Amino acid sequence: MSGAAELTKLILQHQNMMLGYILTHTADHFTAEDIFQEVCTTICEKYSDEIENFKAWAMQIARYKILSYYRDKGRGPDVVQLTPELADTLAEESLAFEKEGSFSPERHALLKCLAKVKGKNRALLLKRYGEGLSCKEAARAVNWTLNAVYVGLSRIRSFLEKCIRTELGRQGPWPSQA
Amino acid sequence: MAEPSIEDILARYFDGACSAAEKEVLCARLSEDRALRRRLIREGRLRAEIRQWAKAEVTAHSHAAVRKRPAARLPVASPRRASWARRITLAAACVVAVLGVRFLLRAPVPPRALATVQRARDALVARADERITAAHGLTLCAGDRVLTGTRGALALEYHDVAARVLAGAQTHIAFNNIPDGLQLELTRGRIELDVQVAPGLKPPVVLTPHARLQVAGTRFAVAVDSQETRVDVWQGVVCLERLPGGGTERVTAGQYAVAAPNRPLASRPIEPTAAGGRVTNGLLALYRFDQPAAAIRNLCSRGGSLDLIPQDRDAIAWLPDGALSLRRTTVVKTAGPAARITDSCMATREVTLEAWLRPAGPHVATVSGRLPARVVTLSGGPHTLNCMIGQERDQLRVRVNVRHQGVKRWAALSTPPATATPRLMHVALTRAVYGAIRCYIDGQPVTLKEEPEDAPNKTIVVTGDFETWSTASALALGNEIGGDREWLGDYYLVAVYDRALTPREVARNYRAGPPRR
Repeated sequence: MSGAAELTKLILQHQNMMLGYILTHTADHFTAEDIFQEVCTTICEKYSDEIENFKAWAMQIARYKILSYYRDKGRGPDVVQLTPELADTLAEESLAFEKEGSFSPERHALLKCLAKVKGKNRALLLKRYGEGLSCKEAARAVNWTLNAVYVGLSRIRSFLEKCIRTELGRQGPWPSQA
Repeated sequence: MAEPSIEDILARYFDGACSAAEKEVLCARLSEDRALRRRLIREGRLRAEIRQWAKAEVTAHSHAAVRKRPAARLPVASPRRASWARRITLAAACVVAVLGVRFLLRAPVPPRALATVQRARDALVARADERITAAHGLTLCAGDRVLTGTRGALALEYHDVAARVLAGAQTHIAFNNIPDGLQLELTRGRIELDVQVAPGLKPPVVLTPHARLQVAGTRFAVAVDSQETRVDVWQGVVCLERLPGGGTERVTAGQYAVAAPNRPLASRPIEPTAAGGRVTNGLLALYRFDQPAAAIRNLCSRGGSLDLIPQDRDAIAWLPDGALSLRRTTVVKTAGPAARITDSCMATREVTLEAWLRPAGPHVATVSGRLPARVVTLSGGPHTLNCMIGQERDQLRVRVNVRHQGVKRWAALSTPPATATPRLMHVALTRAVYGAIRCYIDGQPVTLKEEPEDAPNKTIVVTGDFETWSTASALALGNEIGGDREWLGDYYLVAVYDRALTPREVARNYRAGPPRR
């Protein structure tokens, strides 16, 4: 496999992990994807065979990009930036979370459960996450009130949580919530 | 209404419906709650998966490219209806406007605005029979009185003269408009003034129960208690006139004088033993380690009693050459918040951290400790850091927290490799009001890098003020408040200034050398 192909494979393999980490800081998919694009550019520029732990290295780049995003492109007075210490801690703990491997079965269960979301809920989910509309925009698109969208998303989340639990055959609280 | 639970806040955070206050709560909780961090990570991961799935679904089913976020739809203008209600509202507005104009014409001339509050904490403004909570932007007029509480502080700027006043805790000030200029009457507490004199402008006169102070362009502090008035001058000249008993004294830079009944009025040098050829202008804290003690005394009276206390006396050793050696994990920190340092730096928007030290070796992450290891830190904990000098492997890491356009920003910079080696070294971190951050090693500025891909530079500019600094911060050596960032090595001297020392001043402090026993 060529170097470029190998790198592409590595990026795709860890894409959702990095996006998830960035999302914990931005909570906004578009911003997270913008930052992720910058992360990918830097990875492509700096990648070499000497990098032993790609995951940790890529997370470090993501961390820098998040910090520089907040530093350089302050997004107005409502933005509350996580401290560099918290960014460090979240990066470390995200890596540990991935390493545990507990998310992999959850991911498979989630994909099965998503297929079970039907009707208006599915339309809302696709508007919010597929088209990346904000809750306000999604409310207009599906002709619901904003509050109804919040409630709807909350119900979908509860449904997914229950469904994943059932798929995994677990009972009781999630380990993360215990 | 009930407070929203952290679960609600977390859900709202990802829905983009979280207020700034709720985000602050979330950040604070995340800093201390590992389980919540894990939930956040999992939620982020789940949402990233849902996003990928939904994008694929949209692409597959609609065969349309995922469109970018549309511009907000403009509200459709409703047809205009000239209703009676509208006419009545218009007529009422006209009546209110006419009455308002008449009232303004008859209203007495408002008192002259003298100054604006820049920052306030636990402070009240007494105006006639009113009590107003002091806050940023409040205009102070002639006749107003300012009262600060036990943990209070207030910074203000005069309008007509370039003068900045910082009032400490339990301070009472009255703003008088006297015929020949402005008078600031201090009856209790402590204030610091930074006055720039310009031609044609009269600087304020400071009046206390014991003295009158005529200012001639200067930086100085006045402290009043029931017995005496003490004036410390760091720059320029102050004419001190004793009121009961008479007598005047010219107090020049680097000197102080006390006005009290039955006490000779004379200037004396500030900190004659501690300074030792070093820069004293702006000095808030100075620690030497040449005398073993249970508490390391702050040799600068301006900073107040900010004694450093070693938390574990078995983990430290006093070296014969005048150093405090940290042999094991511990922290040496002030007993309470270093409020005088935080308040002064927030007022000036400048800071200098300086130390003579010898690292024990390259600091790497340990089981109990994270990086960067803290050499000198002004913080309330790892997540409420104001500024610090740290070490990671053989590099120094410096961090300064600033607020720019309402957003908290971080300058997280590092020096080149092999700059923090186990040798006696002089380190200084300065941040100037216009944003320039510099780090000096042995009196010389060193290049700083912000990110691996950024070009190194000797000056990194991060604009903003210090309004996001935690006022509960303590000054600590050898570890972070709350632990986990231990540093091992020897301290010979530590100093904190509320201004950015110039390269020449840093070189002067370097030439003064470490204190020796």
